[in-house]
Amino acid sequence: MSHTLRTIGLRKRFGRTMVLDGLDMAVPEGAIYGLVGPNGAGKSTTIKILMNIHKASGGRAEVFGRDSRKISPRRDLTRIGYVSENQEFPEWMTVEYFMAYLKPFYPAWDDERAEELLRQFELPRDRKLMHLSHGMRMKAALASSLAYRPQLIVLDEPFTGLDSLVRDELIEGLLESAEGATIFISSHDLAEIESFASHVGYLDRGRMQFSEEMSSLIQRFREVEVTLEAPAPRANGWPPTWLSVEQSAALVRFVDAQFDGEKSMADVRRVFGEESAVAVRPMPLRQIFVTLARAGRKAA
Amino acid sequence: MRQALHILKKDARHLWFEIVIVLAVTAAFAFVGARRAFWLDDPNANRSVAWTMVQILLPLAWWILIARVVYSETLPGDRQFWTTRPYRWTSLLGAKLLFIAMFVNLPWFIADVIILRAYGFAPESQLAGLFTAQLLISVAFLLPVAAVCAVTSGFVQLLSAGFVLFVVVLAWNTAFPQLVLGATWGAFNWIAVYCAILVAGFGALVILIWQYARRKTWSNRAVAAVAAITVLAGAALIPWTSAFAVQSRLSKQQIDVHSIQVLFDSDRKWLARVRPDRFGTAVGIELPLKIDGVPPGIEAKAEGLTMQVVGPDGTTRQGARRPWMQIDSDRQLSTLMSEVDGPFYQSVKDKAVKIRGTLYLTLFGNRRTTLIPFGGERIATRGMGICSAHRTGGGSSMGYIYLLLCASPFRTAPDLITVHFEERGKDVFREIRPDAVRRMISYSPLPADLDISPVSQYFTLTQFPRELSDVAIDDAEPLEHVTREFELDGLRLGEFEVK
Repeated sequence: MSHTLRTIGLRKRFGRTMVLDGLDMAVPEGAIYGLVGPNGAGKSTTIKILMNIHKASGGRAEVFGRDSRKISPRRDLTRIGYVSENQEFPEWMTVEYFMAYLKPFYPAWDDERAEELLRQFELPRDRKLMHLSHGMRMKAALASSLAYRPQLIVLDEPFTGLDSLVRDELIEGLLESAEGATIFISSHDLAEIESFASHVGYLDRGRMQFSEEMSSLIQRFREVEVTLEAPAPRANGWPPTWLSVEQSAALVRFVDAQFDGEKSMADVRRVFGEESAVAVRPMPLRQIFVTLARAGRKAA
Repeated sequence: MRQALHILKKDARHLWFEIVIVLAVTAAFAFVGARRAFWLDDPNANRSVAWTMVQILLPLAWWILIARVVYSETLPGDRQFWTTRPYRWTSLLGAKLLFIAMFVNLPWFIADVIILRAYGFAPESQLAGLFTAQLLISVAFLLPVAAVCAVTSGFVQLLSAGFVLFVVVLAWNTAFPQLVLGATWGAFNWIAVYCAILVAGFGALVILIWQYARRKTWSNRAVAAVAAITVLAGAALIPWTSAFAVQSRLSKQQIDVHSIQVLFDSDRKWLARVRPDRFGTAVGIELPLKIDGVPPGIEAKAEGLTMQVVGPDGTTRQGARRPWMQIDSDRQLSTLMSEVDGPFYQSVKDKAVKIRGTLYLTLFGNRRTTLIPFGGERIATRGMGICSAHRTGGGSSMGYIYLLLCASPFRTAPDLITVHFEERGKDVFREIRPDAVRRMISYSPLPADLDISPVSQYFTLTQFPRELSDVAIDDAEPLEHVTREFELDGLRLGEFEVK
């Protein structure tokens, strides 16, 4: 499988602070990859290294299979759409002039599509960017990044500070316009991306805690509740795939990170005996993340 | 190129107000500069205040415009929208340089043409000066300003950088007044100044290219600091004797100088002085020199001197002053002015010593005299540009005031000038005031000096009770810069000691 974005052992240090510590990540072509993590986890730094805005202190970052330090304006940036929450725009430009100004930079600029995006996002053409609300400005940025049908769309915390209505409009516009493109989106809030991301990675303190397809993630995580016949002594040595184990006198609750039907049930019975009652429930993504984050921190 | 023009168009649209301001100031510069030319016809038409103001305002307006255009795509930082758009650095840098050429250089070029015309200089005959002036200002001012803007993210940082530079320059000038760039070398200043300009221009070019290509802000700030220190220390790094050697290589003509001798001028022996300081640590020596054997039609002007005093036992002491400070030259009269240490002087003061050294000379020739009648007519004068002579007053007990006004395009010629206010109709021309016109000269081979003004004005005047007929300007061109070794033998310095 070819990867649009890839990092191998990526490191970035700002002074004494290690922001990225050996980050390995691969974003398959055509994926909608959500990079999730708390503030300060290193998401924006990762994106800025991939976009050749920052230089890595070590490791390697690749975009379209090439070293990100060698991103070429003509060959690569014409195929990338980048929108960031804290980007500085030419505030004096009107929305219409902003679009018209950017058009000659992109050989694949599609006027019809640009028009459609302006309409879809209800952007006031003659208003200067400085007079737009934050949400409107993000819409203008997104419109200007979708009008040339980029193969890669990189969004750095695009929904921060937006109300849910604007966020939904942006997501809708993005998904409608970015067919076939690889979308790489960072967010500190899982809820923002869980509805549409195909892949997800969790970054914490500069390290990737996990990175995989959303469906397989949901598939392999189960909350398991075991009701024991008689109170059992507190046990140790649970299988390593059992996370967040809570045990009371007659009840054990845990998250199985590698749930595999009969095999997992057999493991439960082996540990707790045949008489115990076992309830297995699928988990919402948020709960999976919380479990993983806690487990990761505990391990660290 | 297309992308560069596209960015240029955007900048011109965005910065229309700043452009209008620069054009207005440039127009004022052209207007005041052209009106200033009337001074040649009417000495009372003095517009120096307005002229000073536009000369301050114009670079200020340029500076703001350049800063604004560079900051349209700020280079330091990681949030600018354009860094992730397909901007080619060559196009971006090209757009900025093109913008500066279009809205700074071109209007100023046109203003210069207007001013030259107003003075009566044909611009087509001044093309070399016009382009050299553009080049010098671009290299010495416009590019460095653009480079500093390229490593700063806004006016606050730019002003901070300017303040730091101001403090450093002030501290340097206070700590090393003798090393202030080009402050002491007279007509040779241009070598130190142009070396500094080259360093500044080269540094600016490196910063601009590197910053636009790689956006290595901190590395480029370091380059800027190194360039600034090199510029400041420029005068200290270049020995005056090397500058003279460079100048010598640029000489116009080869003159046989074997006959030239440097001797102790025994006819003016009474001018010799030896002055121990009151602590006895240093002794000033002043000895009149005679420059003999100068070929006919040539005039020699001493520019510098290096020397050592050799005691009878062979011990030597170098003259402690810098070469250009060890000679005082007033046309025909040259005086060695050096200093040696007190204890050495005490040990040799009553003994015959040798003074051995090298005299650095400029030889002037190709004399020509231009007569300018009083009445205000503008007359082209070699070495002076265009001159006019005026007589004012009359009838009163004060007599007349006679003025010679001159305007020179782009630079003053380094010629040796003598001005005579003359009374014709007499058997003998009466020399009322032989005097070199007070003006800054430079031996630079370039057709323009580093100056925002395309024309320099200067004048001289005298007062005389009777009517004079005209002014004679006697001009001699510098032909060669030569050195002559000399040895003054058998001097007893103690004889000249001032008690």
